[in-house]
Amino acid sequence: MDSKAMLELNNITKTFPGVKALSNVSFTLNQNEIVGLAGENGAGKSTLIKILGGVYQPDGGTIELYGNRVRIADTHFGIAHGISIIYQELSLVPELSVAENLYLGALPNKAGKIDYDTLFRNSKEILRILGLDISPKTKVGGLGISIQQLVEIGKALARDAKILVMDEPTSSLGREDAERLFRTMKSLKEKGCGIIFISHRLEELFGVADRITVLRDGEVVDTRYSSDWTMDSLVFAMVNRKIDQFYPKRTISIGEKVLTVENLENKLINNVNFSVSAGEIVGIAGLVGSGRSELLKTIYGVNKVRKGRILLSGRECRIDSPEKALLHGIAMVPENRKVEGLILSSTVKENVVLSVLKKLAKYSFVSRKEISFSADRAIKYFEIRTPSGNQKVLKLSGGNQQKIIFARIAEIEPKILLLDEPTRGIDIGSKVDIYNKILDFAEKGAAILLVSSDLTEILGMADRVLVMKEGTMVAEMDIKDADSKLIMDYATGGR
Amino acid sequence: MEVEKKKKRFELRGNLSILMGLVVLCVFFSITSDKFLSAGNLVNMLLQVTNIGIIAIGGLFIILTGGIDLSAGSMTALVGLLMAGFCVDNGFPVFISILLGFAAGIGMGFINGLSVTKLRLSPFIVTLAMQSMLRGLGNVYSMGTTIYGMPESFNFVGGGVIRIFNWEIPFPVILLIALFIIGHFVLSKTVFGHQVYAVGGNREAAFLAGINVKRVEMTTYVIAAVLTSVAALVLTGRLAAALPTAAEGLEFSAISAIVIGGGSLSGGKGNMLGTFIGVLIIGVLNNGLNLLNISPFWSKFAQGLIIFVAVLIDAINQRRAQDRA
Repeated sequence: MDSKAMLELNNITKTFPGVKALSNVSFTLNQNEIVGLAGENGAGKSTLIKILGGVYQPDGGTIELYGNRVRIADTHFGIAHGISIIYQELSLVPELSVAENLYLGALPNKAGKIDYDTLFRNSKEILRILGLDISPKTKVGGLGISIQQLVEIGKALARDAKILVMDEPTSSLGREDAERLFRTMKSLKEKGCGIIFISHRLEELFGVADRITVLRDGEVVDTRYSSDWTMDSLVFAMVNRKIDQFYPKRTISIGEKVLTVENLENKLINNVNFSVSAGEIVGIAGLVGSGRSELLKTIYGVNKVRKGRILLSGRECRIDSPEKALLHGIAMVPENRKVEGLILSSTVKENVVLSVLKKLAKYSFVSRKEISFSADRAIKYFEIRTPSGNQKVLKLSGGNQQKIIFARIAEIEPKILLLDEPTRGIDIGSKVDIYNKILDFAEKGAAILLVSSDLTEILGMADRVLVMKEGTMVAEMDIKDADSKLIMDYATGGR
Repeated sequence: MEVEKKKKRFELRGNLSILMGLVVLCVFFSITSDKFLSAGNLVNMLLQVTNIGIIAIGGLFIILTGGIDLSAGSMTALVGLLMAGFCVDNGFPVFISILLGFAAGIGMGFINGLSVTKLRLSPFIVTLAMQSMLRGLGNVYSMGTTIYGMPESFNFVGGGVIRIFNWEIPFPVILLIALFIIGHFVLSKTVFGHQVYAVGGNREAAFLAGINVKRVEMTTYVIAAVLTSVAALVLTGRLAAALPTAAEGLEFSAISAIVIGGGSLSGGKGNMLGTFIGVLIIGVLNNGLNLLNISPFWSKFAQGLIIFVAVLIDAINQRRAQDRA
């Protein structure tokens, strides 16, 4: 490929008190190229991004931009020099239009008055590049999350960015939306951009990246062309151990029906029928917004039931709050662990015992000893890597945070487990740990519903697959008959 | 045992910077004024902050859940007027009058709580409206006049003295310390206390973890109302009179104490010990400046300055912690 280096990092080192976050990291991004960055949580990916964004200053090493040595002193440097970092968290203003968001902070104006003609014309051009068929006047708040993601990329284009750094842009996207994002990335690449792409979904890296660089413990393990990596060699480079069984398999006998849903209906779901038995894992597939999460939340008592019934072991139950759901032995791992799952400012201990405080208490007094005892046991069983139970959850990695939520749920010994994207955005080691724990739950006789945007996860874990589309259950299949194409056909309405 | 000790040290460390602030203030005033360190003055100082302290205990519960109560001062005045009025105008027995006053106060707490939980209104706006309404009602009820002439027994809680060995300690001071200790236990040792922190730390997550968020919030407003009624009884007893203009701005002094003590208005952060130190800082400051014959106008300024510095130190510490993460 006839391409020249846009960005070159040489021997970048960054040390935090007690931790060497990056040591001698060298890395090149060429024009017309997408480089994938892989590594477990804590491998140094986010530190690297923050150095490129001007948030951190490296302790050693040099950065060259188009052959010139530069210092990225602050976050403004990138805007001025065409480097754009697209973080996981969207930074859009929901009340403003697409156009106003695209040019936020740099609105074209004539003597202070916003020049709407230019604004909308330029915005249309950007939307065309992105392949988005929406009006620039649309309010951002009303758009789906995947489209918002693209608008976020559009912001970078509006600033004429040639170097894009994308930190897990697909973590909240369904497959269809991710595909659209990849098409956009590839067309940007053709237009002369260089893109650094970070994802925990390895198959995405293979699909879109020209080269893949693997970081581990703050060092570059290897950089190769994508075609020179295999899934196994990539995983091995990341975790430095062989993961022979990514989706562990066990024979678990399936018992009686535990949860039956009949004609369930409300604003977001429509006439849903299914049942789950003890020890069974039922995967629920569908696009984002197809009603998967809403279905789980309805069973969990968050959303109101308008019609239909929920039967637990054959008996009808009215569940109108999570408090009641938990009393019936129904537990949920919510979709967004930071917003819906954890008290981030609180300790590991407190988060683990949150749902069982009453059970631990004597005359509504809880002793620290009881809390420590339960929490320490859970930390050990779930292999949560934390200096102590008194550590603030905020400071732990995504994988460990997710394990804390599982630990909390294990405390109530659930009969029905509702899992909403249980492994989103976490490292491979933690993923495998969590898969094993899910099977432990099943072995103990829990009925499990598994919602995931990662189809390989559903195919690897579930005994049966349900597919949702626009709030309705459109297909049900045994795992033996399921494959990703069939599921996607149902999910997108191609069948 | 190891873990227990560690946790205790940790709690102390969390309050260390404010404790240092308090010590510095005390050292300063004991050098500049020879009267400051006398037992009589220290007890007097505590007496002066009794009402701020009692209101702050209830206020902390609310603020920890992410709410706020701006109606405490007006509620103190109205409940005081009602208690005195039942006694003097209606001729009810002292005990009954006080009980009815408490019932009225709790009722007001319920209105605050229901507005926040059931009507889902912003606590700031609701209690601001209540502040005005309750102050208005107090004036209407008393026709703007002072109510006085309660029997001696009515005034004991606010004006009584208890002898311990050779010391004469005002009853409100003992009450204040007792309430702080109870508050500390409720907050750190009970299920409810843990739930209060969870709701303030992350409402949504607390709800999904099975905590009845609305019940927790409701309870904090009722607890605050009970404590406000105690403050009303103390204040009325100490003055031996109920005034419609009493306790104006008391809620702000209490909120200041909570914030100086490390509480965060966004919820989830703060503790009883910190709030108690915050109350003492306000007390020492007012008392010390008074001893130095500095105008009370300046003491208001100094109080504001301390809030500013406390919040600044907290913000710096937090940013440091975040950078390390």
